[in-house]
Amino acid sequence: MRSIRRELVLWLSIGTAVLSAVAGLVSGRVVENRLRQDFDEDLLATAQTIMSVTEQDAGRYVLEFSYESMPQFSTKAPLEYFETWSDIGEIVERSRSLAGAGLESPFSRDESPQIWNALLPDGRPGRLLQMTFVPQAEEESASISGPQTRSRQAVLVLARGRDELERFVRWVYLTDLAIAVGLALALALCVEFVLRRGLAPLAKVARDVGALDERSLETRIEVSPAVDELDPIVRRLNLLLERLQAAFERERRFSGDVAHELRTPVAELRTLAEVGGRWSGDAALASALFADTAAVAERMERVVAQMMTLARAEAGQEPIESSPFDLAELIDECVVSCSPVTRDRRISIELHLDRPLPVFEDRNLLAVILRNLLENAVAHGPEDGTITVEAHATSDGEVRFTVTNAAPELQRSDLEAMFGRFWTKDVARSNARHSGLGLSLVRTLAGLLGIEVEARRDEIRGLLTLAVQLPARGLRSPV
Amino acid sequence: MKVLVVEDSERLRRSLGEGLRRSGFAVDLVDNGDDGLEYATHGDHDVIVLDLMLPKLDGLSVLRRLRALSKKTHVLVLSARDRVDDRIEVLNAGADDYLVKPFSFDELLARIHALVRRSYAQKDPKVRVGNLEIDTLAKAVRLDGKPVDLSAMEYSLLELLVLRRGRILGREEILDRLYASGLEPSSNIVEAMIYSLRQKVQPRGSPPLIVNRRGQGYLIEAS
Repeated sequence: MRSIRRELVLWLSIGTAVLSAVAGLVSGRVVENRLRQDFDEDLLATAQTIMSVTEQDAGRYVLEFSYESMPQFSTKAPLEYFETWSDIGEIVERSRSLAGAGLESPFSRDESPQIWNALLPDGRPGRLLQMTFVPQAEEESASISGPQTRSRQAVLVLARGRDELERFVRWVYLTDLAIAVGLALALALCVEFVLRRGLAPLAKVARDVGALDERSLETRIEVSPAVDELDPIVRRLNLLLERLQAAFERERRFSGDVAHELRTPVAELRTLAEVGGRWSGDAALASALFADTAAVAERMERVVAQMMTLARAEAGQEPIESSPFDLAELIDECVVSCSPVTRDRRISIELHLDRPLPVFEDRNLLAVILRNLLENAVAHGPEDGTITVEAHATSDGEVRFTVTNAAPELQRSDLEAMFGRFWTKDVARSNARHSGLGLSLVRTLAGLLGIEVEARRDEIRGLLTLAVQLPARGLRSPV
Repeated sequence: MKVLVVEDSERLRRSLGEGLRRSGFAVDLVDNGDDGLEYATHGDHDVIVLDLMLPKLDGLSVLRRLRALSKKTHVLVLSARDRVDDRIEVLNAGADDYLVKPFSFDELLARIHALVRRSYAQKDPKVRVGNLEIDTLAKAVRLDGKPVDLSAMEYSLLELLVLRRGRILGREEILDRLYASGLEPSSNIVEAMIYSLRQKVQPRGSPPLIVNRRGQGYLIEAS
């Protein structure tokens, strides 16, 4: 797996090593040039010393050289060598250090100094300097002979070992290389330390996130003290975790609710069947149990149908087919469908509707919404009570539909909770006809249709109003 | 034997009541936690069958309050919750047994019988008293190996006296154990049943099995 820290350390170290090596090479080259230049200048200075003690007297060369002052030309190591040649190519003088051997012959008579590398007689690599010069005439000779005496040229070849120079140059390069490598290593350690320290909050976030699973969704990522660069990421992550936790919690609750909603009727069915089977000879008992069995099956069917509709709506699989129709007619149909229960519970429904009330919506889905709102009022409103249903068009083209019933036990906190799945005022699902899915279905379908549903409570009169607001669709002509 | 069923599902409550009554139990049925606690506190039940999700007061609270009142009646909890944590919580709150919905009625019956036996420290469902053998599972009685034909109420009275042998049971206590709460049986029903039982399970000439302690009640001697 890629590691930002490892890559930064690697590439910064390589970069530093390469830059240090180039810098070392350049500086080594500068130092080398300077050393060689100094070497040559020193060689030249020595040559000039030798030339200065070389004189000519009446056509002869005289070298007043003192080996004591320059012992390197006799026996003192490291040995240096010189030869002086006459203008006719004869050896004039050889340093004692040559011990009779010779240096390379001069290769030209050029008066400018010539410098080149060659092997010394002792086998060491050396630097040779050749200079053509005119030895000074001795003072006496000069004054006697006068200007008529012809001055003769001489050639000096001077040799000095450069082994020490080469060693020093190598040492310079090696030192530069060592500095480059050392710098790279030091920088790698430094970068590693700095990155480890700097990226510690990121590493902590990575560890915290890595430790998350479905059982620890209540955990929140914390970076203390806050880091500017990480703050937006951490806030996003925590927001995501919050949503994930809510989704998991919803799913868990839903699974639990589904299990309960299905287990209870299954338990009912099983007990009804087993008790009926145990005393199968009792016709009256069997008849009562069969009636109960049918009622349980009907309830299960309703729950399953509602759950399927909810699941389809949430998955976006519920097709929307809008068409113009009269909402007042649809409300009348929904009221009629509730009439068996309203009769049983002696509930009267007061209708206050604009007639006709043209709307442009999906009639089937809106029917499910209206029927569930009415069924909710009929099931939970008090017996012998009154339900008020109103539907009016507003001046700006919207349509408002409300269902109002008495709900004295309802709390303000219930107004939002009642739209949750399987919510009932009491913890028990004692109402055999209602699963607690109706209002959840209403809200989901309303969201699908883009219409608003809200619950309001009249504190003084203890009334609950569920209101549906249909937006203006640009169709308010008679149907 | 008397059972209290606290269950909010009307159909389940009704069918359980019917099944338990036909299985020889006196049954009290209530549909919410408040009434359940009231009946359990003041009634004399052998077993309480308690649902957890109840209106007014949930089953777990009913159970905890009962135990806080030192009420030792055996409680069998019925619940749709099947997680181990739920069972542990309920058992730790003082439940004696736990049954997950949906359940088999036969299993429920067997567990109620087991709890009844536990109430009377009776491990064997067959009880012997002299020449009499009572099978508490089959609700059958044999005298000298021959079956004895008893009505359901006669059997219940005999079972009560046998399981509580050595203890005097007053008339009111017998009525409490044999009849669902609120029923008003005729005033001499206990005496009539005792007379009928003696005729059926007490051989002529043998010492009396069911002893009448004047002013106190009836008992079957422990030996």
